[in-house]
Amino acid sequence: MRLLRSGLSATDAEERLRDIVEALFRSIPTGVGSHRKDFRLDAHGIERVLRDGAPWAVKNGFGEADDLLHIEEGGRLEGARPELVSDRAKERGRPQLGTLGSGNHFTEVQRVAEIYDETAARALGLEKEAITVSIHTGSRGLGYQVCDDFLQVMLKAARRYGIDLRDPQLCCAPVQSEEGARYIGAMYAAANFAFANRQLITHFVRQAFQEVFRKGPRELGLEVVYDVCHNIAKVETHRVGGKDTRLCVHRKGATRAFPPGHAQTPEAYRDVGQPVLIPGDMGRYSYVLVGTERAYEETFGSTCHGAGRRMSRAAARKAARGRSIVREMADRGILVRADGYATIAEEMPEAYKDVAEVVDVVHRAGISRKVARLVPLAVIKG
Amino acid sequence: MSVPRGYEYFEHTADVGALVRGVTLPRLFENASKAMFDLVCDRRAVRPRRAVRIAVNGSSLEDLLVRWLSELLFRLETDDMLFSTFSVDRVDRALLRARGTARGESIDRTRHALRREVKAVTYHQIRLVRGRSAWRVRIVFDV
Repeated sequence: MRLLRSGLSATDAEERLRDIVEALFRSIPTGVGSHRKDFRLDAHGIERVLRDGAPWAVKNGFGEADDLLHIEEGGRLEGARPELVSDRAKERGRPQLGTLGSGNHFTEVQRVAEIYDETAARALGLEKEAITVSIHTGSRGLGYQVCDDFLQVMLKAARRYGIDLRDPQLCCAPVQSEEGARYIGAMYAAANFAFANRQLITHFVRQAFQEVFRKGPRELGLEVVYDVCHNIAKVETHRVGGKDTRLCVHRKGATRAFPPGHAQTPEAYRDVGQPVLIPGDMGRYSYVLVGTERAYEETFGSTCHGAGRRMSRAAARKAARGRSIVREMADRGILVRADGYATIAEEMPEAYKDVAEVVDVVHRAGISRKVARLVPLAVIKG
Repeated sequence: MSVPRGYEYFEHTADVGALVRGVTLPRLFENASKAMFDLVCDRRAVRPRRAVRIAVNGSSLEDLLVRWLSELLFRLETDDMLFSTFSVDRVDRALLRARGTARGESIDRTRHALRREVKAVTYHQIRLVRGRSAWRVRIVFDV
């Protein structure tokens, strides 16, 4: 998940919204079988992406060196083992770098509708009524294939370690076993692919905005606020019983929320805490929060990552029957462009819980602090 | 379960499940393939112009089916193809091997109605059984 801020105001953007959404839709491949036509990674390139993540992208002309300062781990997880990612996974991933995918993945143009914490918002470069862009996508087919490949490994491992499985999909091995170590190496490589993917998409978002507004990058000021993983397990140091301990922290449906002053919190945010990005549904709002000391003490520096679904996909399709969700969204002032016609129905706002309620819970629990509310203006989906 | 098209979907919060039946194992595999591609696109618009041979091995019948379907997803993404018809020649229960052909064509965004990506075929609560009149499987797709 990545958030960009900009020097544009909502009034600047509103009259060009249709052009923006079309330009984004043209420059970011979405949906079934989406791949880039303008370039294709060669066998050597994919190895570099898996090893070097977002820095690879910047080195190859996709974005600025400063972008890396505002990405979790600088956009490159140390300990990635590209050689443990199968050829099949690499083959799936190669044409997909720089593409969005489908399901709940999106790129969204938003305006900052409300600020809850002036100091933190200033540190994060968020101003009321300014335009922001959110990018939600990950490691694409490469990551799914890494999972598929390791399911085979883990099914065998579970038998070997005598782990009684209630469901074969939950097959596993001890973190410190050989299988566990190999999986972490491959998963980190997939995470690097995801960082690089969002870095490329950032580049294409900037290009689309430059094309529509005929302004240079400096004027547009599309800068990375933050980029943070969710659905990943990472080895981190936390205090357990008063002692610093190396732990494997698995955040699934959760995201990292490190406190002010933490070494991993970027310099610019040192006083306020690590930015936390919590997307809502495409019709209501998303939130920006910051991590807290309390999260570090109580939840291993973690908080929630999204609203969560209220309806199954089938129920959402049924509720959408006979309606034009695109028109309903347009009536609310939100332009939606999607590749797959099933996606819009399944992703319609009422299919999700109200993220405001979810965010209030984590805010009141003190495991992250509300900074700003973002309201969608234009959305592209797969 | 009397399902004319050989499968029906069932509710699952974030994913999509299918209950599939087939008089024989090859028919079961074919119907499961249809269930998966009906999630991806409108198969009626996909012409069976190119044939792709598929051969997979597994460690159980469930695993064999997951691998068969995963192979189709892999071909979709790497060959940029949609499949509409499937003929499974043989599912060997002793050697746990399946062989067959999937037919389809290259994705054409002007002509094909695309629905959604299937990210993966899962082992989540998978159950493949032989009923009195047919083979049945319950399978969940990660979408």
